[in-house]
Amino acid sequence: MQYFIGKLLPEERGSIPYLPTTADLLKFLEEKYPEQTALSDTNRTVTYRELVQHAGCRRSLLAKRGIQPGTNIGILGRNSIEAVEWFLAVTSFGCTAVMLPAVMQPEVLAGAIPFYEIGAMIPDAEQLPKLSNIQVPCIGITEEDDSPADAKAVKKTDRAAVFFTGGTTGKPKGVILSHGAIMRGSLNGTYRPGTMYGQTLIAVLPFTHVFGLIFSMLSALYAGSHVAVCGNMNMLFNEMMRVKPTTMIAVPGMAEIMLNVAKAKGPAVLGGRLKTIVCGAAPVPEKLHEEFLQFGVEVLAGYGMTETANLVSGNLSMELHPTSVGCQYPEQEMRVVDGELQVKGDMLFDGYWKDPKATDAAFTEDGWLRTGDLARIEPDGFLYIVGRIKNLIILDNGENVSPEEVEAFYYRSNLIRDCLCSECVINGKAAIQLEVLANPGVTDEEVTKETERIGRELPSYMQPAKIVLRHEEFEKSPSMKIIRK
Amino acid sequence: MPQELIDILLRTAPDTDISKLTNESRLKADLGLTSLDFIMIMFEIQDKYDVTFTGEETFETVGDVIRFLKEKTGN
Repeated sequence: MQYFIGKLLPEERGSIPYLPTTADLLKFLEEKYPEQTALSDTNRTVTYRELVQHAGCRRSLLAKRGIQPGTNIGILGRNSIEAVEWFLAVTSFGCTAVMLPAVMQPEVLAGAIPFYEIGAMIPDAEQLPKLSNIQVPCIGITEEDDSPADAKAVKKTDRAAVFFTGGTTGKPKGVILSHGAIMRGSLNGTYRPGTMYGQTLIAVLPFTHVFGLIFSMLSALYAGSHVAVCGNMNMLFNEMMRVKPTTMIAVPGMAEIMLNVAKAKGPAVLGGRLKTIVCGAAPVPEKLHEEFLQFGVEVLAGYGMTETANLVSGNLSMELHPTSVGCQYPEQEMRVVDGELQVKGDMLFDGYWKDPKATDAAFTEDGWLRTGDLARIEPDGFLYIVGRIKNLIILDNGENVSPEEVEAFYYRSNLIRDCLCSECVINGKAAIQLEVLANPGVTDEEVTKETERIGRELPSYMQPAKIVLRHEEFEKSPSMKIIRK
Repeated sequence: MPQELIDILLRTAPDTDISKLTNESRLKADLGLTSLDFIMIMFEIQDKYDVTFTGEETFETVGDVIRFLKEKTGN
């Protein structure tokens, strides 16, 4: 805990309290930063006072449309200022925001609306046609009432949102987060000395991802920063040059795109003021951190999952601990049992929507969340993630190999863009296979030599028995993680 | 198809088989362009044709890009 508190600047330390609900957050924002810029896009700018007022006007519209607190409301569309205002309005009205991915196909949406008992939808104009054959009341994302309505009396334990998880493995599940969990996750994101308070950020990760909505939006607002909302990854660099961000929250795949574009077009595409990129939601390759330093940007890793409503640990200096995801944030606990990381605290989710079996399996008898990640915590408190338990490859000689651990060695190479380690069968025995996608301009011969070189550095039980060179991109989830079959 | 556009494609994604390139070719599914390729192509188009993207455009096929350029440049 001292790791974070001790490093916060004096004016940051204790300047924001833990607020248990989004209704409390709105009140706090209006009082603390009324005239500061909260949000912007290419067309307009919104101050904190206006943000709170718009949320109130949208609550008023919910009431006028006869929507009752407790209703599940689907929010569907690209990142937009309106989507932020609606999320805050819906949750502070006592409803649950079901954050539906914009990539959802109409037939999947048609099944999701009854399954998640969605009583009203808020789609953006692009998504509206998907709902043409579905019987559900719709509110246009730009609609609001003329005058604001007060927030409802919501409690910390009330359900606030449902996010989807499981994109890389298996069927997506609906993760239920309470107000308390979302607000703890939001506060966790502010433990970034000098890089979250009064900063400029771009929210480009989809708001359907906890990292997109909770970290790059709510944490930033909590700390009085200006967030430019970007609804289209292709426009990211135009936005970066426009708003000149100082801090970014990204998944590693996105940070890598930023790095490659900066290398090709020059660092001006990053806006010229960028100091920090906080990376999480997938392993952060060491080379990402090393290569970004040439542009004066520090990439900091953290660990979290949808079920923990944001990061639960953060690394403040990759110089000192280059492969660690940092230390746990205050007010939460971590332990490693039989190699698995388990966490506890009020940031934990309430369960999976209509899936009590999966919910029971996610928790230990004494209430700790089984993360499913293999980890170790060093005596100095630093956390290291080794891999996913369910991805473990068990060889015939009894050795357990974590594919993520093998991949990490190959990701250090500048010749390799992506790789995927999996199990294969050779001569009737379980063996390790590695698929490799080289960076553009790297020949098959060069990448083959490189994989052989790296292979020789690995402990023998981790060496791939088979290398497959790929020439097309791996299939990836919306958060840019390679999908493991 | 404008030669300049073909040049941009080849510079950005050298493995593109231009003998199979049609207006209906899908940029990601058929040509295998990655998110990074796509962003680099947008940069090249902005520089070459002096056009600005708004973020509202949808580019699924090569034809979508050609239509966009026709609208913006009149050629």
